[in-house]
Amino acid sequence: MSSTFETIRTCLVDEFEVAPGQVTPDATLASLELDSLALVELSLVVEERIGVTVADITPDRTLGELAAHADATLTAEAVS
Amino acid sequence: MAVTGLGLVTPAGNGAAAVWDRFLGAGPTARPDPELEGLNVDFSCRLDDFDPPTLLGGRLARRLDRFSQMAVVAARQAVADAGLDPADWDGTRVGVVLGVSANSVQTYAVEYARLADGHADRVSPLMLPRSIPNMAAGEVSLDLGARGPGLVTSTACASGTTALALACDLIRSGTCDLVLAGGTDSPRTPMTATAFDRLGALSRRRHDPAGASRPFDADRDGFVLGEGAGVLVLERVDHARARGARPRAYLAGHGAATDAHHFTAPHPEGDGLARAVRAALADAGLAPYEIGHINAHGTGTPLNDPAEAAALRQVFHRPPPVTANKSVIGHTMGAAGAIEAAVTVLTLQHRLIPPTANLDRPDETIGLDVVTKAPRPLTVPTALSVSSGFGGQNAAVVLTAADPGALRCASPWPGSPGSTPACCSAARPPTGPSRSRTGGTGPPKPPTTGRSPCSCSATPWPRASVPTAPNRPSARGSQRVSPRAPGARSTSASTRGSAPRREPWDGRCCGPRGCGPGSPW
Repeated sequence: MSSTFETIRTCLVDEFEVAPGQVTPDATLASLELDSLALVELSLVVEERIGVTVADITPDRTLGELAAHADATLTAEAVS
Repeated sequence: MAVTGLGLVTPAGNGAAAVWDRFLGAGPTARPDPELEGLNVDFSCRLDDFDPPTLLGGRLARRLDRFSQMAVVAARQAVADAGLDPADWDGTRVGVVLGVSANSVQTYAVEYARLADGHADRVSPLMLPRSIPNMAAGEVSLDLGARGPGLVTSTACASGTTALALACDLIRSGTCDLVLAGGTDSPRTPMTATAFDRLGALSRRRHDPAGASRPFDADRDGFVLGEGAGVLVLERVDHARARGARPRAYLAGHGAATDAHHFTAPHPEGDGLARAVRAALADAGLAPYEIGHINAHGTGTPLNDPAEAAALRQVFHRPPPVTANKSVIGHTMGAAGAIEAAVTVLTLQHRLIPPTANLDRPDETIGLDVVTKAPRPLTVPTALSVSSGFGGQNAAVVLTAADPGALRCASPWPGSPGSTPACCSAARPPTGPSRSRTGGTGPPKPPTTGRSPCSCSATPWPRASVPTAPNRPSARGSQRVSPRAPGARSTSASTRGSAPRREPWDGRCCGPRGCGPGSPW
């Protein structure tokens, strides 16, 4: 599992009080019962901790997709 | 109204004990501020040991602006100090009232910069819920499950005092059993520092930041920006008693008045402040000579201090000892009145008046007895805390000691030799109608303070001396005097006519047989 996913996982468990067992790559954000404002907060955390802007976090995205999107953005920024 | 808990987040420390220790030493907290580097005023009084992620958790810390972060931490402290557990209380009976003035300058600065740089897409969606001033109270309510009225007061630098007054009325009216009341602000930003400097309100003592905040000193040149939060748990006396809480002090009365003179400058004779003080005294049922200490607004600006002194001199004739907390922690704006009221509570508890820092060369025109250099014993269990703000808004609260040991008095009143004066008896059960200000139809309320302060000890006084007219409570004649419950004898009412009076502050206490030295505690 990528370090990005681990960062997101740690954040969800420690700060958003999501049960550790729920935080899997296949879990959608909707399944974690995070409301729209919580998703905004999560995007800010990703920006702060990982250094990429993920403005289009939607409830139907999985955590794995979110991490992959952040990693792809990071890679693109490193190449450009 | 019992004060059963204190929460303090200040440049002088966090928590009542730490803050009190710092104030007794009178060490100023002003020092260079990296955030203000390069400005005309590059120093401030800022918090130490305040790490929001550690105190609040990362998510909450990230969501809140600094003024709300401090408020939540202070409120948690106050609740714990009061021995309250939010899991046990009826949240619908718990209110939150916080004074806020500078508001969310931190968030505005960051987000406006993003927009100005062309990064509209980077403006935080949390900007508005983070920055609107009511969120200080809203976040405290959310954090602690306080589900009664949640309000923010804004009377500029008097906001914290106004919050205490409003909270008091929420309890008097029967709306709340207890209220988390106080203030919070963090005006310490380059824009605020620049704007106040342009107004000529800030000290420019860059060569000596620690000596910059010097209320009532001849060399004062303005105030110093501070930051902080203060929260007091105000609680109905019988509610506190029922749960076995021990009050730290009582909030006995409050008053407010506006100068309607100038948009920033105080009335030169302190007209509005004087009326606020008289209203607070009348509300508390106390005469000026029954007040033993004043916690001044004392900003250290050229205009405030003489106007404030004029107000106090016209109410008190010879005002009791004064101290100015802003000499230590700077001006915390919306929090100032609350922090100063909390320090006044500690003053009553410890029977010590903390000194005013930096008062090396008192301004001779001030005419106040300002405590400086070292703490001074407090010998009368009553105090006043006053605040004034831009817009000419003034507020005052009267606080009285809770310590029964402070009420050592016996039969100072004419016609009651050998008896225990009403003022010494324990708090009375609710009797009689509610106060008229609440509409008169509410449930019975206990006397405001539970017990009124005593004026005299049992010691026969060696010589007779009665204050002359200027120190008499003449102002009361034109002020609203709240009705009291039957049997709740008012010391001020008792001291009318031939009753004993305290000499205007000279360390003596006057009884029917004269005045003499000694502590009335």
